[in-house]
Amino acid sequence: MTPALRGRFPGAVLLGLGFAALYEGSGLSFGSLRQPGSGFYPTLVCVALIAFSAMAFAKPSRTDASEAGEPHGHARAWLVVAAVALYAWALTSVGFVMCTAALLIVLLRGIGAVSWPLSLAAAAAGSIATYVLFSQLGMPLPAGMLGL
Amino acid sequence: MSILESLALGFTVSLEPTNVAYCFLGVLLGTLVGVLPGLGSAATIALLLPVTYAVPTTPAIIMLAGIWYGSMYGGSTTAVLLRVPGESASVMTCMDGHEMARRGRAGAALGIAAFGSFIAGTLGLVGLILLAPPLAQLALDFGPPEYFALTLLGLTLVSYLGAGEVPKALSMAALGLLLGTVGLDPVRSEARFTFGSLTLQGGIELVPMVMGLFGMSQVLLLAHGPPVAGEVARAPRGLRALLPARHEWRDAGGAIGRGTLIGFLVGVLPGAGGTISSYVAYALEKRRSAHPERFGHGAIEGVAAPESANNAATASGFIPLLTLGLPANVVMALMLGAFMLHGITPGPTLLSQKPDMFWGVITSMFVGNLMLLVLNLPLIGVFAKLARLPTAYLLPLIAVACVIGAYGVNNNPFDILVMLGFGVFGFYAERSGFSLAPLVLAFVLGPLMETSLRQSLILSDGAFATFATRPISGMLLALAVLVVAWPLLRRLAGQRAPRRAAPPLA
Repeated sequence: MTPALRGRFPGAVLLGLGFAALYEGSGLSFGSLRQPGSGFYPTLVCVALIAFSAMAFAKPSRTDASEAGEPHGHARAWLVVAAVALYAWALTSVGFVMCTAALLIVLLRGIGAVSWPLSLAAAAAGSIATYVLFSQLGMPLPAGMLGL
Repeated sequence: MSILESLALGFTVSLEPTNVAYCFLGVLLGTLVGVLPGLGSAATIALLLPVTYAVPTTPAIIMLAGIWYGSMYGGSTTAVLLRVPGESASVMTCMDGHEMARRGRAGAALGIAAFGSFIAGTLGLVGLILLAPPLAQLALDFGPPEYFALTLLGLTLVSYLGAGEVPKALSMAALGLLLGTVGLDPVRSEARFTFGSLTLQGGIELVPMVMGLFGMSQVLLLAHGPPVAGEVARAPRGLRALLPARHEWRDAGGAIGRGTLIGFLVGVLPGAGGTISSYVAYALEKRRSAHPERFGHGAIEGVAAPESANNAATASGFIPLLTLGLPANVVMALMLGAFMLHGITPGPTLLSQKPDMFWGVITSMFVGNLMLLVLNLPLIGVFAKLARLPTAYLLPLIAVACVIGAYGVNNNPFDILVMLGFGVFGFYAERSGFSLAPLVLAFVLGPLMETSLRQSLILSDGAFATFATRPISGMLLALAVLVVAWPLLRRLAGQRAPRRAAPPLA
């Protein structure tokens, strides 16, 4: 993607969202000025979103920093996203302690490049400590298949 | 009840051992997040919102307030010693504070920042105490048109005074309003934008949303960017090293007074807050100085003014929330969320219905400011070391807090995915210069705005003129129009001035 296109991309996304919401909201009753319906306010908001994001689209971003950051920065950010998504998916079945330990290992070792022994020790200590702390605060955390 | 009786009531609440303990916890956490670059007060308050479920309302609000004003103190430590602003409101402190530290005056810079913050925070609270009750009394007369005009003015100010470009800020505010419509219509209970999902009928939850926008987005930014590094100045040793010299007090005294006044006035405006007040206070000091060339090269006024301003703004930022129920900035929006999680709506009736809570929270800030002064001066060396906590450890810490906090809202892993989605959105929005503050404020204010708009139209039989003909709402709308038209008026004035100055064509 060229820098010019990249600069317009966020505005385009918001513009598309505005039109999509306007379409989805068209099924709601608009009512009248005397008796505004459920769709009255969302329609006004969608029109405002379309107008303002069109202005943002017309004036491409000067502050876009997509090129800045470390090499492989995006890959690292998306590794975090994948790890957290997997965490949410596995939490109930695998359990809090195991999932949190695995997430910490990925973040410490995979993102922070912390040594393996330290990552494993910090993950074990961190997951057990958070389990004890939040259980004490009354938060029911899933035990999972291992009962932990 | 007189002011003195109210203060006495407040201190009996705020000096209860439990409340003192939560106040201490809040200011300690606030100082830590102020010190740690990458973890702001908004993110921390967002992370702690679920924890406050288990805590009674008054200590919960006292703790969250402590985090906010504590972060302002903490931010100055890293700004002076590392040239890294722990908070955006400490950016101006970096310039002269770090320069003073490089010249061996780190102690004086940190000392004047701490004393200035304490003086400004205390005076700001006095202003809050004097202004809040009459404003709350006035707000009791507000009807739906006034509330609609007030929310509109608030969002306009947030978009125009905040960081970044105006169209981007306005589009984020509109998106926040749209997200606020998801769920059941507040008037007719008709489902909107729920796509058949029962979970969405209750609307988008504030906690996973703000944790994603402010917490997870920071995790992604930390993972993406290079590690934070700065030039470290030597931390002062001993309390004596923190005391500014007599001539430094003389130079900084006026700057503290002016910074306090500016901070207090700017802090009340929606969207302005600590960051803008510190910029304005710094600019004013530089402009009125007989030696403006000293600024940026270690002028103590350049530390005293912005630090005083951001702390006074912190106190005055509570005025719109406690008296009108309107948050002036994103942290106050989260505070509003905390009140609402406990089934309390802050606003004009808070003072009459829950005076113990109202005055307890306000007086706790006196206690907290004193704690911060005592805590900050001897522990500056420790905080300076903490500020060097590598990203490799900070990132997992925030990430785990985010996932636990999001899960804890409903004990549902789906909320983790919601939080993650907002985190990814916040990551790209921040990198593209789209400010997140208008979005969150609009999301929080949206339901009030919609209800007051629809009620106004029903009551006035569909006449939009009702907003302009009522004195208070008319004045508020006129202010909103002025804010929008101001850049255009300035441009027009700028075009006319050179035309007048230009010599006539012969």
